[in-house]
Amino acid sequence: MLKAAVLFWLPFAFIPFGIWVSQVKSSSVVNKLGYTISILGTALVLASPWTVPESPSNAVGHLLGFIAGPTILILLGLFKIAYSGNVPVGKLSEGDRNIGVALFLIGLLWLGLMHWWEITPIMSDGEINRYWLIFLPNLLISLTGLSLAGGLAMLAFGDNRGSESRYLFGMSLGAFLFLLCAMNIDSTNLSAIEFREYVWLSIADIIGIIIGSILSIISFALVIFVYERSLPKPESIEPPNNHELAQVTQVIKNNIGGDD
Amino acid sequence: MAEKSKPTAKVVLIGLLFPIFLIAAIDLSLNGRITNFGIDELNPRIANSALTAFILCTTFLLGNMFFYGESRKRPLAPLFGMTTAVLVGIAATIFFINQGPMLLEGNGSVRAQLVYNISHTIVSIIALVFSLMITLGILFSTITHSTSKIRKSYVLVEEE
Repeated sequence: MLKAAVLFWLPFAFIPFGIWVSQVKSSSVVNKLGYTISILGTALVLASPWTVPESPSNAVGHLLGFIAGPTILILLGLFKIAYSGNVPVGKLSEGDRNIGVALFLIGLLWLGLMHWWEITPIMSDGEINRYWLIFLPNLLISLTGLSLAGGLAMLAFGDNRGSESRYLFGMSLGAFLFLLCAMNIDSTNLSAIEFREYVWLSIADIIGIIIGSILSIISFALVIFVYERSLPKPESIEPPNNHELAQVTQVIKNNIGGDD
Repeated sequence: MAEKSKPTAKVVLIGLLFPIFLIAAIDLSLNGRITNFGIDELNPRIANSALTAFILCTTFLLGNMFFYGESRKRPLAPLFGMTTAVLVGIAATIFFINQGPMLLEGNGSVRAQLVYNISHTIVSIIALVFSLMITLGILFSTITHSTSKIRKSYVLVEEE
């Protein structure tokens, strides 16, 4: 337990802590220290299947290691595509755009094959990593919803964005069809029924996260509201006297108007 | 010329949640209920997820209180309030899990369930954030690759 705390949970906590510290802009040393802490934390979490093999928590590190490849490809691909378009500074070339599209598609294909083919994250005991079975349905459900909402938002808040929103609708449809296929067709390592169970659990999970987050935001707003209400009202000051009004009039007179 | 009708903000919000209900409806219509799997398995997940999301989200907002405090001469009262909210969340989670096997989800002890809840919610949040990044990436890419609307309207004005 102690070993898992030191070699997994502490480094895990260091990741957000390092990011938080790295936001200090007043000192470059503290800023760099923050990034170093985050990188070290990430490395230790990724190494957890070897450092704490007996702890069930290392499955999170195992999952992060497995999804790092496709995630980096997808995000790097999107970055290259976005910055090869009409951006005011740092525009990338047409070739970068093509590379970006290729990286994005390879990343998506890789993620897809992790479900359908032999490259599913499997633990040393031969079982599928249970966090992968949480991650994939959650990703597909949220991608379906967010892409659909993003496409609709483009139409709602933008002007003539019909052709651009099609890509988001396409992504939403793709994720939705993937989900439906996985719920009805067995993959190499997982039956459709098992996947259906995890999809239902993911729906429950998302509902729970929404409820918990809303409650948390309500308590945050409540704390600020109660504190702000407890503050004394700012003291009123006397209205300006004739001398002050005359002075203001003079300043205004000196600063407006023109020679013409 | 009549202006094209645009979807409202409500439609955008419905679009966010609609696929969840659609997936559930299609699955129930096509495959029916799953044997030995039902509301008894789903309810503990919703409860555990809500409690853990509350704790994690409140802890994150507690960090944001420092930034809020910068504009208010660093008062201690809001920090104390948010710390209390985090502690209430932790106490409620331990209390409910201790009530019996209802929220244990197959884990042997309260501590194992707490650790599992945290890992589970972190993985779910990673999936949510990743999907958000993909959506924003596609949105940004399509906008930067579209023809500029400003240039288009400028040409139209010039033609007039």
